[in-house]
Amino acid sequence: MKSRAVIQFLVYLCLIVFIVASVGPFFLILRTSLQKTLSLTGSRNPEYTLVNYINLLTKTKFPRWLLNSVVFAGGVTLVKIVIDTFAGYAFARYRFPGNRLLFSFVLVTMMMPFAVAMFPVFMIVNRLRLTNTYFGLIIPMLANPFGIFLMRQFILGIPKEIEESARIDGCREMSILFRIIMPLSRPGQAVLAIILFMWQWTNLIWPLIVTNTAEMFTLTVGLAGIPSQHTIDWGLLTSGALLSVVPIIIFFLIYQKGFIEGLTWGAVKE
Amino acid sequence: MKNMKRFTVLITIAVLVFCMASAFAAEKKAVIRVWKGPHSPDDTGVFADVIKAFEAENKGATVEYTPTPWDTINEKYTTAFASKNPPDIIYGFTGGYVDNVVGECYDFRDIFSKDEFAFIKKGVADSLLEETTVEGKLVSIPYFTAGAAFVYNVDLLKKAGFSKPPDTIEEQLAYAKKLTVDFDKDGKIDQYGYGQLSYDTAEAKPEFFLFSFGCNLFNKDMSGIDYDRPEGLEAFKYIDQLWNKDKTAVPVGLYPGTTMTDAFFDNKFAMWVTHNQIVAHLKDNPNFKIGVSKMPKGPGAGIAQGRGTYAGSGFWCIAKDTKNLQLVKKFVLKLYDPKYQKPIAVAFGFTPSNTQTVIQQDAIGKAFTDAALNFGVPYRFGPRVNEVKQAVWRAMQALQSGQLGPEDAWQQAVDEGKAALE
Amino acid sequence: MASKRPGRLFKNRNAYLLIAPNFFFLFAFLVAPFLWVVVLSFQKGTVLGPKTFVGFTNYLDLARNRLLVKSILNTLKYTVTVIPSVFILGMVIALLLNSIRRMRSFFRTFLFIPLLSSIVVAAIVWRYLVYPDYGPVSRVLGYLRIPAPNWFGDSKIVIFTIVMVELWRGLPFYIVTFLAGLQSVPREMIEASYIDGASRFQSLLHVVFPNMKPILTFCLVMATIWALQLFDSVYVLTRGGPSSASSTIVWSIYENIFFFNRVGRGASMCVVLIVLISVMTFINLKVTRFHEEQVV
Repeated sequence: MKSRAVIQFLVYLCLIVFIVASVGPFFLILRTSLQKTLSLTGSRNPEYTLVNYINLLTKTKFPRWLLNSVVFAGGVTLVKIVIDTFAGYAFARYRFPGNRLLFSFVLVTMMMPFAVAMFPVFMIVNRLRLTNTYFGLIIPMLANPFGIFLMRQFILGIPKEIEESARIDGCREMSILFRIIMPLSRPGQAVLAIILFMWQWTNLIWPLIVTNTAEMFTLTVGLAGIPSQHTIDWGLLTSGALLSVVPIIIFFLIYQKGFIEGLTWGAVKE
Repeated sequence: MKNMKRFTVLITIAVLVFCMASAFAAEKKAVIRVWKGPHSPDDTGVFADVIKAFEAENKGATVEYTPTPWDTINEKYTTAFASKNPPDIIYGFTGGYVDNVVGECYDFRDIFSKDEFAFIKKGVADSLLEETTVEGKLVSIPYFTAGAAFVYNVDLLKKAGFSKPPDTIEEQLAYAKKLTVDFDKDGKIDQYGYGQLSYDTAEAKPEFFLFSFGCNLFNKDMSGIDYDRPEGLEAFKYIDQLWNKDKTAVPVGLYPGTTMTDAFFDNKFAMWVTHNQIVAHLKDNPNFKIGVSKMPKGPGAGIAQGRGTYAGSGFWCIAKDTKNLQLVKKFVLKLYDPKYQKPIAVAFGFTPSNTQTVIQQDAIGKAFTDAALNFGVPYRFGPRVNEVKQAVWRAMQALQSGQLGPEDAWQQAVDEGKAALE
Repeated sequence: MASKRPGRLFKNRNAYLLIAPNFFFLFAFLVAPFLWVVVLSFQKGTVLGPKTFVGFTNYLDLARNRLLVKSILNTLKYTVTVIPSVFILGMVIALLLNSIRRMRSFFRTFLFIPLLSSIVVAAIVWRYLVYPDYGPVSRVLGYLRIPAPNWFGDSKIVIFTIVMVELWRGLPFYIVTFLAGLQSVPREMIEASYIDGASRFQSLLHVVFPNMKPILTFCLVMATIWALQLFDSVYVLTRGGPSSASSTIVWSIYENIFFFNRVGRGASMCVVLIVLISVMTFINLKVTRFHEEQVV
């Protein structure tokens, strides 16, 4: 019908508008990053050049920052996937005394913003002599109740029959955990992986406090350091911004199928 | 079951072992850590020579220089010192962020011998020492002296019919009115007469309005505030005139951060008070004619003849928790050696506090130096000082952004300033 | 059920072992610091200096503290603006995405991108967009002869500027979550409602949304918690300005600890924040009757 086509057209139009609003700005600053520019005002050198990217990669420690971000975000994500699945499984399946209480406790800890804890956490990390190290970066970020919550909900949605029949067949607990639960919760883990990775990739305050030398900065910290006291090199800054977004877009594109699958699964949990 | 338990225990042990391994691996030999906010794109390079000389003379010692980003400098230094593992040497300046940590730094008189102290202090005027004295402790000796001066766009003034800068603050009001123009009559002002450094750079330092009227932030012994007098209110009323009544000043927040400097070079406003760092922009704007002069005279004759402006020092502090005091002292002595101080000052565009270290300055550089030396009001700093400053800034900002009227803003500044000193 | 078998104690021990690593980290790096902060809230002192015990003084002072009151109001203003916006816009876009057949994953992927940028990147982008005269947004407004507002300097709208930036960055999360929820509603139920004569809109209201309740509740709770903790944007974009017009509770805490050097006051604000978050979450859960749905 004609009106249905019109509606469809309008829908696509709206979506295109939103896409432009979402992604458009990046193309705009792409242009700035390709020009040798020190200010945003009109008086810019109109030639296109790669000098900003070259400066970024050679004069700053950008490649090292990239590595650090990958190690940091990747490290947190990998460890959390394992321990959160464990914990989520325990809360979802085991009727142990204190299950409800401890889980409520988990929910309560979600309300403690990191900004509140950052100071004492830094003191602890310092006591352990872990400042400016990968372990110092990663370990405090493992304290995050969100993953437990998420994995518990997912595992609640996995039908119990599979485990039951495995138990009847004489499977031991550990096998059930590793051979059945882990594979089945992959979609949930995919969701968790993307969210956690993204949070740590874009984390500013913690890496800032805990790293001391430019070798250990993550991307966010490095970028924050580009503006100096009285000037901002916009060309350098925008090129850094773009290059810091690209890896995580790639990561996302790889995992997005699992991510979407996971979200859909989670919605059907009850 | 047993396997499960074994597995978990194994993992926990592995994690702990890794932790400890990395902790031990992090042990280092004699490393001296120096932190400073960046004043140039290649800050580390500026210190390359002095570091090389030091390392050559002290085998086995290395200097690790880290430029610390300005945006986050407060929490970085505070957490570092709070954890009792601070950098050995920090660079501070009287306008800034070391307020909270200087309590944990050495008094230079306690650690340097008489000769060493004399060497560091050589050429630095006694009166300047007041700036690096915090609660009775001489935490450093001024290394750089910098100040703010009245800076204007020569061409824009000429176009409006002015061949020289305003000499009094009344004239400044008149100038500002003529210099605020709406070229295309679309209701939007295209050029403003007056501007101010952005608050979010922590460089704003609008206390000079108080100075013009004869008020300082603190009284002589820093026991109370000085602007709770009628003259203080006058200063706020003057600000109100510029921003709200005449509307000849750039609205607060329109150009955040350092983009205010870009706006100046883009002819968006004609006059303001800013620091000598601005000369670094001149080479990118070769056609721009910049004028630098002393501040317009206000009625407050008691302070710098009514032309008071910010003058502050940059300096090096030594943390009390340093583990290599002897080596650190040697490095600091090298820093203050005019042989190395001079090129560093030139690279950053600062003036050495050691007046015997003469650097070449053109007319503009000289104008800034004159402003600092002749009309500079020594800038105190310290923990409570910061809170009072913030109170004044906040009140002025509230006034400039139209949230409060001049009387209310001044009252708020007074109330919060007094509360801070309790 | 299975737990009635012999060896039940054994199984419980497994559970504790499974949650142990997580709880170890939670205690060491979240709970212990929080307790330390609570202790600190009853003291007065500087970050590096000595601290003295002062009982409830800090809490009593809070009520008189004009800045804190302003911060709380700003935070609430932000929360009350951003949550409906995020839900409405997110749902609208999710519904649009749900209704098209082709290219859905293309749209979904690209709409997701802003979420992947850190606040530093978002700040760079938005500073550029609204830069006076030269930024694209300013230019467009200029063509349309609409006077550009002072985005970051006008105390009346600065909170809304932050809402705008946060919406741009955070919306994808809700879009994708809502979309997943929409797609998980069983087709049969929707078909059945059409057969019963419901219009699309009525079906939406009475069939789809109730089915999505767990997801909507989860999003509401998280959105509230995150909104009350707003800090990053303020830190990067406005630093609380102009003159505390955009100061939020966490910003105020940060200011007190790192600029004013008053840890006792900062710590007591932390406690107030946590109480506030707990209250709001409790209200959220009660209003959406969360606990009635949960079956452990």
